[in-house]
Amino acid sequence: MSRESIALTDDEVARFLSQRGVMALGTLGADGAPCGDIVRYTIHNGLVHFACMKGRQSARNIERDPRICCAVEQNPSYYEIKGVTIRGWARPVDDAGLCRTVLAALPPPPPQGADLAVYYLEPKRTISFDFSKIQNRIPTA
Amino acid sequence: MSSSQDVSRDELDQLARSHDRRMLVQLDAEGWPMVYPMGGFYGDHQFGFTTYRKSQKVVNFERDPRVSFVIVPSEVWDEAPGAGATAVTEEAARAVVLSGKAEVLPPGVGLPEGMEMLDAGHETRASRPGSEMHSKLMASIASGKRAVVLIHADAVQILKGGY
Repeated sequence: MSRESIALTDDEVARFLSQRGVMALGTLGADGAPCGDIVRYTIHNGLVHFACMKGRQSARNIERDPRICCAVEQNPSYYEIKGVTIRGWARPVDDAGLCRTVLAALPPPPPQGADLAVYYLEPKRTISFDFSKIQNRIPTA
Repeated sequence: MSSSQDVSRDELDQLARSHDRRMLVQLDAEGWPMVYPMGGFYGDHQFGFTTYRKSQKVVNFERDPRVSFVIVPSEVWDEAPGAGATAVTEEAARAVVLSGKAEVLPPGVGLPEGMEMLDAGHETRASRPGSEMHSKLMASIASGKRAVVLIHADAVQILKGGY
C-alpha cells in the first residue's frame, strides 16, 4: 500500500495538529549534524508556532540555520497511529504582541520572566499518515 | 529553566523503559533534518530499530550515519493542549537525547543477543512477541527485506524544563 493512500487530507492535518500540543523538533548543529528536541507548539493563523529557551541548543541552531523538521504523532493502538511531519524554515516572531499571543496559547503558558524565542514554521513539505485508513489489515493480537 | 546533564548507563536503562516515545532525527540528501516517530528495541545500553532495507531512512544513513535519537515519556508527548496542561514542570526530565551514529546491519543479520522489544507487553505494540505481525517482522529481518539499525551514542543528555 502506498504512503499516499493513507495520508491525511489538508483539513485532517489541521484538525490533528490543533488537537496536540507537543512535537519533536529536528534542527541542524554547527557541524550540520541532526539535533533532536521536544517543544510545545500552538497553531496560529494556520501555522505552527513554537517557543524554546533562547540559550537552548535548538534555538542556537535555528539562529544559525533555520531549516527544521517537526513531527507530531499519536499512537494509542496500531490502527490508530496518526502522524504529521512538516519540513520547512523556522522564522522568528519579532512582533511583541504576537509573541504574547503565542506564548499565552502554549500548553501550558510558560512561567513569567522566561527568556523565550518564538518562531513560526514556514512549511516546505508536509507528510502525513493515518493507519486507520489501512485496508489490508494484519491481526494484531 | 532549560538544562541538560550527562546520563550514566544505568540511568539510561531506566529511562529507556520510562520514556516510551521515540523519535529519530537524521539528514536527507540535501542536509535537511528529518524526524521519524519510531518503535524501538533496547539492550546492553543501546537502542535499535528495524525498517525496510529500501526505506529512505536506510538510504539516508548509508550516506550520512549521524543521528539524534530522542526518547520522551508518553505523559509528556501526549500532554493535552490547553490551559489545564501541567504535565511538564520546569524540573521534569521531558526528554533524553542520544547523539551519535547509526549502524545499518548487513542483510539477514538480526537483533543483537539481549536486545529486546520495548513496550512489548503494551497493547499498542502490534508486533509484540507471539503476534502474527511479530512473526512477519522476524521473517522479514531474516530474509533481508528489513534491516536492523543500531544507535551508537557518543553523548546522552537529559533535557529538563518545560521549554
